[in-house]
Amino acid sequence: MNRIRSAFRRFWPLYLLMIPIISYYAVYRFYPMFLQAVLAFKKYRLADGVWGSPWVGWHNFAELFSKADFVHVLGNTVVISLLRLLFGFFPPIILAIFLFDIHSKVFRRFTQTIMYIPHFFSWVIIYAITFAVFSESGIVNQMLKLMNSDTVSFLVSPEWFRPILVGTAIWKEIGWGTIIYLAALSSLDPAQFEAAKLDGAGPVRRIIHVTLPGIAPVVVFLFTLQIGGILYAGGEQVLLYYNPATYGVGDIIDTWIYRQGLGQLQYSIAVAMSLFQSLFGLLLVLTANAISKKRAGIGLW
Amino acid sequence: MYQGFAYTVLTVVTLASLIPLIYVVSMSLVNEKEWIERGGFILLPHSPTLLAYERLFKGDIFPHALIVSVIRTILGTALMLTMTTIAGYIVSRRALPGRRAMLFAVLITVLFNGGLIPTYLVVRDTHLLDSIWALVIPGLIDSWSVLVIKQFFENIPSELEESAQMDGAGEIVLMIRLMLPMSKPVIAAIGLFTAVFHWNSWFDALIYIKDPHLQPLQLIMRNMFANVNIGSQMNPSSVLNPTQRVSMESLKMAVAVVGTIPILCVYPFIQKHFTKGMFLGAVKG
Repeated sequence: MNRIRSAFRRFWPLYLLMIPIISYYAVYRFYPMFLQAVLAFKKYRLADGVWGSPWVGWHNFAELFSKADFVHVLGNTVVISLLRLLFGFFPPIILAIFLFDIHSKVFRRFTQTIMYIPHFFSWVIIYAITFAVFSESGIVNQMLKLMNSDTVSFLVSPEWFRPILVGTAIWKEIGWGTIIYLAALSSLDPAQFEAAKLDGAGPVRRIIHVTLPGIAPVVVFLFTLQIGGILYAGGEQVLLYYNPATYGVGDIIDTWIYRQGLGQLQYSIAVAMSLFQSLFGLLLVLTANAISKKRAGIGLW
Repeated sequence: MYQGFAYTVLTVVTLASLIPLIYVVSMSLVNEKEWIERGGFILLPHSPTLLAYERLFKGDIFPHALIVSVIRTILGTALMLTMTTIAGYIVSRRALPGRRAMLFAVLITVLFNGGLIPTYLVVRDTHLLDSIWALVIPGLIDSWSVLVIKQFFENIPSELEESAQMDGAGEIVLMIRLMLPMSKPVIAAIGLFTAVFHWNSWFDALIYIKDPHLQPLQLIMRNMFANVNIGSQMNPSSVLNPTQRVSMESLKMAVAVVGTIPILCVYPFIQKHFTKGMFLGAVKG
């Protein structure tokens, strides 16, 4: 009792400051989580509000999983995420190794400065740049015209939607993606590189035997996280990039939730989808982590 | 051989990053005549003009959106930094009863969130829709930054803290006089990233703000690409001379340039921070 009283005497200003902080967390962070869990099991009716609407058990999930939409949207999400992983995961690793290995410090600094910039641009700006390059009047079509070939409607074509979506995302993040690998590389012992050199190892052998093992933990760490995020295929970007002509190949879980929920006010089913997304994501991270721990001895925790 | 290959690849990537940016700026600087004559493939304008920018600032929508963006960025960053720093300080006080519970709550919110619709409902029910607060309050505290700041505060030698307490410093004095000055670099870095985040945000405005006078620049820009009408009002039909007209493309690119200038202005400061590796500490953390 006395201990608490003396702690309070010392810390009371902090308890006072805690009030707005706890209120914020309670209202804007925890209450939405709670609402999510509730809404997923209710049939939300606008007139009755959240608490007046009836409980329906697993009905929302049953309805969600039986929708043709579900398979379609899930498929798009997974395909787009896998494309991102397949084409976007390794280039930053390679670039980081190159940046680490080149001799000229000035060149390295200059390249880094330029390559990091797009990371700080909003998706709207990136879309503007995409538009400048790929629209009917953009760079690529102007070049096609110069070569007397037909122009391509890249931005409204279902075949080009995914390559452009994934390509521009890689363009945005390729430079910034190197930063974590560069940090891992700079914490490696330089003596190892010297020793490899003395043993007569060329640059390729050095990469295979020193550099890659050195950054392997970071690579596995990021890969595991990416696997966990496979149902998150970049809603903000897709929302900007897709249009009626490309809905078929572009509609992903996040955009579906946005349209179902805020567009058509189907709160319950949208929330069920969102709960499925986050729980399945959690399951994926745990699985990927267990596998990487067992196979590579490296885990997230 | 290997060095040559590495330099070549890096040069190609750098040029690929740079050329579209130059192209966007150049496009914003041409009038309709040059745009039509040269077919829109312009890396350097022959007769650069600020006409597109003039048109933008003459209208009503664009300057308004710019002001909204500036206000949300300043307000959002200031409040977020204050609250996040205080929260970081609180969870770093080992002797504070209740600290662990709060730390646990912060950790939970790093891992889970309520999702789009529940958050929207709470913003609606707390009457924030169609106000600037809808863009500021939901992201008031960033839990990840709380953990980074906590880490920093905990690394400050406890002798400094003890000697300050000997001199009779209370918790508030300790926080403001000792902890804050010692962690200025992290707080500055978090502030810069938050400012960039606020400046770049548009999705929250899309769902929370219907009043066109309260929409930030990024949302206006997004609407301009989604719907042609906004821009076409900016070329008065009375102006027929093509050297006095700007194409829709130029207008769009001019908006994009205005949207990036603040980012490029703070970029050197951001760069100063990430070379110090503090974000990496945060990522590893």
